[in-house]
Amino acid sequence: MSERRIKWSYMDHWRSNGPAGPVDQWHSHRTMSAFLKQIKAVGFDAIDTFDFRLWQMYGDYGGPAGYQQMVQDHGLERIVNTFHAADYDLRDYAPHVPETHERILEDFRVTMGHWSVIQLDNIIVMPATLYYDMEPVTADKLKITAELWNQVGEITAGYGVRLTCHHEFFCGIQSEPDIDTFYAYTDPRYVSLFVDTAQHCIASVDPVALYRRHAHRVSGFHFKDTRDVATGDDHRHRPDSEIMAPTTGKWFYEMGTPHGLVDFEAMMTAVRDNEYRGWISVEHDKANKDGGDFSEATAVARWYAANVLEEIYR
Amino acid sequence: MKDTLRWAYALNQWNFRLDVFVRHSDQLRALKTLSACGFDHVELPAGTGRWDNLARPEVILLNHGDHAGFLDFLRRGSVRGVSSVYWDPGQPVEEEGWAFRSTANRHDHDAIVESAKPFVEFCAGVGAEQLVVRPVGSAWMSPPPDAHGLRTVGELWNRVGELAAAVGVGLALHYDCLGAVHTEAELVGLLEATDPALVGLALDTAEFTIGGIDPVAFYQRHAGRVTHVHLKDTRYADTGQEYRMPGAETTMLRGGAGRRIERWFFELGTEGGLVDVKAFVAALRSRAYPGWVVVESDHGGNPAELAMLNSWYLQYELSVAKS
Amino acid sequence: MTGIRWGYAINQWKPQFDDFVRREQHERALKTISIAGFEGVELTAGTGRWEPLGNPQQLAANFGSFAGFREFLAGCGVPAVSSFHYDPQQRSMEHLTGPLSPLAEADVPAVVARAVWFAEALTQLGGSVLVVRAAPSAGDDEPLDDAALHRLAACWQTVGRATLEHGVRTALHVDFLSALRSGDALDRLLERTEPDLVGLALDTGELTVAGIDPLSIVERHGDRIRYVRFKDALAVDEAEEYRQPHAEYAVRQRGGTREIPRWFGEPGIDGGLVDFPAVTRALLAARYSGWIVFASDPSPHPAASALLGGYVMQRELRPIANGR
Repeated sequence: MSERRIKWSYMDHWRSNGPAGPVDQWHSHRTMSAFLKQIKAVGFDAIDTFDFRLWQMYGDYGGPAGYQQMVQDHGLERIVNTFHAADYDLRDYAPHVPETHERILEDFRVTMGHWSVIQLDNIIVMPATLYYDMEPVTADKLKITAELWNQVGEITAGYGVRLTCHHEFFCGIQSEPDIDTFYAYTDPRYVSLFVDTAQHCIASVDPVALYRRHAHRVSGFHFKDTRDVATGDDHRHRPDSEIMAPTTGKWFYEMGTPHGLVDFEAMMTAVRDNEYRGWISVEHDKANKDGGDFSEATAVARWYAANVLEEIYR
Repeated sequence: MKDTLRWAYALNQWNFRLDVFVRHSDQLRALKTLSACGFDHVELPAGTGRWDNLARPEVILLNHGDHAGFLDFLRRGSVRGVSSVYWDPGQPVEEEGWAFRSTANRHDHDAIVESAKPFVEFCAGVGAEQLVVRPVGSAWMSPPPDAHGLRTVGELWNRVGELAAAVGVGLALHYDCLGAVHTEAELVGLLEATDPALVGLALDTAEFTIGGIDPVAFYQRHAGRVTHVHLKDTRYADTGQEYRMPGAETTMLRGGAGRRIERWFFELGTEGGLVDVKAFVAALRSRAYPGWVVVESDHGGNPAELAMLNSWYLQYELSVAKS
Repeated sequence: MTGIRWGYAINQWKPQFDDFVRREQHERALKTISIAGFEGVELTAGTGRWEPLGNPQQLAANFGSFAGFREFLAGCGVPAVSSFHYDPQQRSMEHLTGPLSPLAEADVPAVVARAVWFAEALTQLGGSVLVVRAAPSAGDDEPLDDAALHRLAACWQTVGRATLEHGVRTALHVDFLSALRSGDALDRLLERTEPDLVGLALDTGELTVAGIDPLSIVERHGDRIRYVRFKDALAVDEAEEYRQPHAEYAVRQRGGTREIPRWFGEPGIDGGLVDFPAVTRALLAARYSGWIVFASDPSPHPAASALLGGYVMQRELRPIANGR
């Protein structure tokens, strides 16, 4: 049996029905075990987490190593990537504002220190503040942003972890030209691209074409789907685009959803053509909105990976 | 699943109310969920009316054209076939004019045999091995069966068994914790009143446990008669007479009265489960049990979640390889 | 007739941080509250862009102005905001501050400023009470000695004075994890504060879970009660697990060693421990006049909880309050 070129990781979003209403998997050991069992049962190989889970890991599992042990006890390999979900704010934490850079760098030094007890592949970031806090997006701002992430990437590289950028449709760097410019300013040794299929589609950027253009910079993927493209001011809706934008209250769906806009077969073909070997992360945040269900969405997404995508490349 | 035992999954946990599991897209999601969990055969629950389009043969065929069309539909969800169909002749249905019938009543036998035909034909048409049936009505509705009563019921099922055997379909009587055939002695009596060549037993581990019968011990003693298995767990056993509460389907099993236990059936590996699942499955293997093992978790919580937890249990606690 | 008005707490509709963010969801919840018979909504302080009803800055960002929000409420049939529930230990993204403690003298000016921020909003929204978490959890700090009680009193006096300038009363809320639950700490705190400046919030659910009979509080401090929350209790923390560190997670959310599935529910819930008619009568006897806010805390069916609470209010409690 030939070695698998692609393995699948599941990204930290989950709700189940507790006696007092919906809870996430971190609610208790029991809910965490039920979550890990379900992820494993449908055939995922590993998980990704948000990095703010560190505090729950310390509080409930003795830290990232202890938590990873629990993950492994359920038959999953490890934690592959962590997503650094920062509270961007122009006053003290904004990649295009140089005065905030030292604070950001210190944040990453501390964060990487916490995670150093296990081996991660990537630390994933949204590389810019909300769009409405960055616009107008100028070449200067892109340059300053790129310089910051070069420095952060150097810090993370010291821990053997790749700093990789994930472009939300509502973040400052979301259009095709801006993305290209940004990567031109960054150092390939220290800054990678993490392709989120839905986020790009929503922003009217073809994720397959983007991937083909920057394949040598790509260190991972979020495979998720959407049914809507952002129109008008969706991407800069105040105070929030992700949940409050007029076009829809539910931007994200599991891959293979009916009327989905992402061409996953083309995406997988591109992954094969570029001989990418490694992890693909599956994500469908807020799957429980509008009558959805995390267990089912996850099962159906893994079915799609097994029955459609792995037929193309495995 | 890849195993010497053959594993299937029961769809009834998705069809927990008449209107929630009707749209084909919703059904495909359930099928894909099961497939992702490693199951490629399903057991269908019987039903009635136009919303039971995965349950009532005429309605299924109306939705998919013919048996092949239905199997194609299943394959779109990567499910390869139907292991079995579960049917309760005592449940009044629209297709039979809501007639109430009892297998214990000889006068109803002709009509019951006639009403079995759509199910037998459907099983044959889709390649389902077993028609799984509720042999008698609920205990709270009738006095306990005596030897004569058991013979009467046995005769009915011999007739249906013959019908099924003629088209290569097996018939399995499914014991449940509310049935009028309740004690081990009564169950054995019923089996003895049937022809082993025509009628088998569907052993449901949770139903047995609730009813006070040890499924492992019973299987060891009567392995030859067991032609079908439902594998599920429970956290509670009947204290002795709860099954006789009036309206026990609701008062006992849904927590309407008595101990007010709202959920009796649970996924494999549940905390405080009473069924020794590992011992039971080991017993099946030791006797080279040839039939289907249908994993089930009816009246539970989130259907997808239950299927996934059951799948994990098979893989990790029973070491059944997924593929 | 009585000056009692009946309100409903909105917090049960937001079980997780990304729930209850869209306008149409607020509209449905507010209409539910309205048709259930309530005349005011209590808001819970929150921070960040996914808390559109959580603080004055978010309200302004989403509705243009307080008047705009008031119009929205009126359109849903809810005449007023009764109150804001504020916990100083919650960080503020709007102000870039971390948790504040009423026990820390250095934090008091910030707590006061925050309280005034909410009070100003309340006056424009028809509200009259700022309900504050009076003390941190018992398990996260030293027991309250004399000096600590002195600092607490000083903090809340200052806050109470400041909010009163805006016509808003400050009412101290004691939850079942609170350091004020032990011994006579609450009595001593009330003694050290002026009745005109610092009121007491009577939360039937929190008190009952804490093993304290709400009737005993009405009896002892009826004249200090400036706000009432009617919430039912489903279990009592007899083992005093509230003293553990991180009890917010281990005890309130996960139910402690007994894994209590739900501590709280709407008034009248099956298995509820609070005698609401008795408490209502006691409040009347103490001449309480003000808001009684119904709550259920996290519920598997928020709308159902509101309707069931509304039934109890309309059929049993409001008639008592109106002298029948």
